[in-house]
Amino acid sequence: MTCAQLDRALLLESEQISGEQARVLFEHAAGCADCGGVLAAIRTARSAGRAHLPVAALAARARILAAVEGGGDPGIFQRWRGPLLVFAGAAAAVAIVEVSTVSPKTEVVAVPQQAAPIEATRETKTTANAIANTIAVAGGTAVLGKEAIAELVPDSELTALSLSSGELTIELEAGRAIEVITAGARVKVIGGRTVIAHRGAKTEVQVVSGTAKAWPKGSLTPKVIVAGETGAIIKVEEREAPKPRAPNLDAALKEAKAALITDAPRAAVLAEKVLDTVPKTTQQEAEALVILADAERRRGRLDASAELYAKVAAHPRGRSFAEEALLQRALILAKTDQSDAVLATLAIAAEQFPRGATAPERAALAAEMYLAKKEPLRAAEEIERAASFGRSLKLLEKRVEVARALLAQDAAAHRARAHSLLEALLDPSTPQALRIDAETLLKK
Amino acid sequence: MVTEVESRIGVVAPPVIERQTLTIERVFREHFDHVYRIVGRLLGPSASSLDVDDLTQQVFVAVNRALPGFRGESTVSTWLYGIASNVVLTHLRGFRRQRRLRRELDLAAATPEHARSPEQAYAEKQELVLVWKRLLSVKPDKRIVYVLYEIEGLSGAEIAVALGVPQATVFTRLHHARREVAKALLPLQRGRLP
Repeated sequence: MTCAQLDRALLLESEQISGEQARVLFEHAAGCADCGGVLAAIRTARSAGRAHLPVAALAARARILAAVEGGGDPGIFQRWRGPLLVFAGAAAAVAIVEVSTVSPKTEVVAVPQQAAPIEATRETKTTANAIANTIAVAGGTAVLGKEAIAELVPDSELTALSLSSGELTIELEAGRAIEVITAGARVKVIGGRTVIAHRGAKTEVQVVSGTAKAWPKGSLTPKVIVAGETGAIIKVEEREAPKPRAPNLDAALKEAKAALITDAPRAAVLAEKVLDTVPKTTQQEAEALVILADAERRRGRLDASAELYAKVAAHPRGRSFAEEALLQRALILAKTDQSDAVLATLAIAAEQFPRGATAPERAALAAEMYLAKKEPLRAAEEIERAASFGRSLKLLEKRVEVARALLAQDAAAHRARAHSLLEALLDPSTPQALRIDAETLLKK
Repeated sequence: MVTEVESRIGVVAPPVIERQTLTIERVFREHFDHVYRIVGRLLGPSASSLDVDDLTQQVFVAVNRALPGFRGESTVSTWLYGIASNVVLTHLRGFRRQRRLRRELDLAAATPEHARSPEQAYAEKQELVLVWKRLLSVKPDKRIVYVLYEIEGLSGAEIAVALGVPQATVFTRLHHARREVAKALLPLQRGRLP
């Protein structure tokens, strides 16, 4: 950088320089590689910075409000970061009393990572015990039956529980949903009151009010259970107890994962080796499947990869990868022009992870599929529905495309809807190029 | 006990007009998303959502404590910008934290398997990573000014009120931050003149 005007070029597009001075400097920058580069860099940095749009998860929002209202000292009110085990049927736990007094309004049972399991009794009707016997979940509560063993799924934002054995009564506000995962099924409870029990070889789902959907182990198709269906039973195969992780396989998995970036074929071979020896239905098996699916995708074996992603999504221990796996499967299917299969996969993902991290990208992909099918109105619906999922660059770009398609199909009939899509892009935080596109279309 | 953050908040002037009806519930309801986004952007894309959650919580705890002294000499949002900036600035003081953010950004760039659509996302992400990588090496006080001005779109005067510093200081910090970011991006911009 040698131009004498460089330092002044850094003042462009700020309040520090305007009018004639700015005009002269802009003209100079247009013909000067150094100053023009600086100006372009300022714009690129601004655009890249604005593309980062952090959005809070609903559960995080509720948790923060509870902490603030409770006079929460952020140093004491810690969200849990590891598995939280709650056992019913034993002695009352002092740890619960201590935590509950910190922020009694929240009824969130919080323990530091690596804490010992919390034990609580159901018989004594004290507040502390009521809390100990109840797990706060997003939009409601889960009450453990006698001798039930349940675990909040880490990083699920209070929307998923793992039920190892016993009975769990879920009560949710209308329209809210959480998942309960047992050894044999994944059950999605949607509003109302549902009792789920897992004993021995079967999982029972009893819907008192609301709805539940249950995916038997290995299935992508749910069984729908409505209120009043009190005896719906999903039988599952007798399952072995969870096996501990094999340290040698952890090392192999790490090696396979490291090879993914530079040598996908080798990563695939290593992952296959792990799959040959790893115990079935373990976390390690799920991880190996993910690596193999990624490796196959990277080496261009798309069909095999799509199939593997489906296996990951249906794996009993694959929940933490399932949302991403379903999106990857949909993206692969989109590459091979299977739009109906893409939409079906996206529908499954939306069912299982309605407000998941990939929701904006799923909406953008669904809109793209509908645009390809010449159905801009359906595409618009997808974009409109995604408005509450947060913003992503792809979704913003898709707004422009959908609005353009609506106007092209029938400008008179769809103008209002197209404009509504575009107006959301006039926000100053929208990347400049998109905002200009939106403004241009709005003038039409 | 007045915390370091609260003592820093003291330099920010609070509101008169809305003072009567302003409650923590109202501030939370109307400004939560805004505050969350500011905190997330001040920390950069390599920060975990857990860190953003924690600091957003700290901001609202600080707001709750500072609310009685809110005199209405600035808008609520400007006041919140100031509090959020001070909370993040205090958090970032630790050299290790900053180093961790930079390291995580490096990792994010080198591990495309976690990206949504790895190959494509990797390419798309490079520019963003480069910008934020450079930004994370800019001193926090300058970076905060840069984020508030360039990304959040505040004026120099608003930033001066929010941070309790003279406007000239705001523009000096902005100039330094712009120079560092531009220096890093310039090789990319050759041949892409405006």
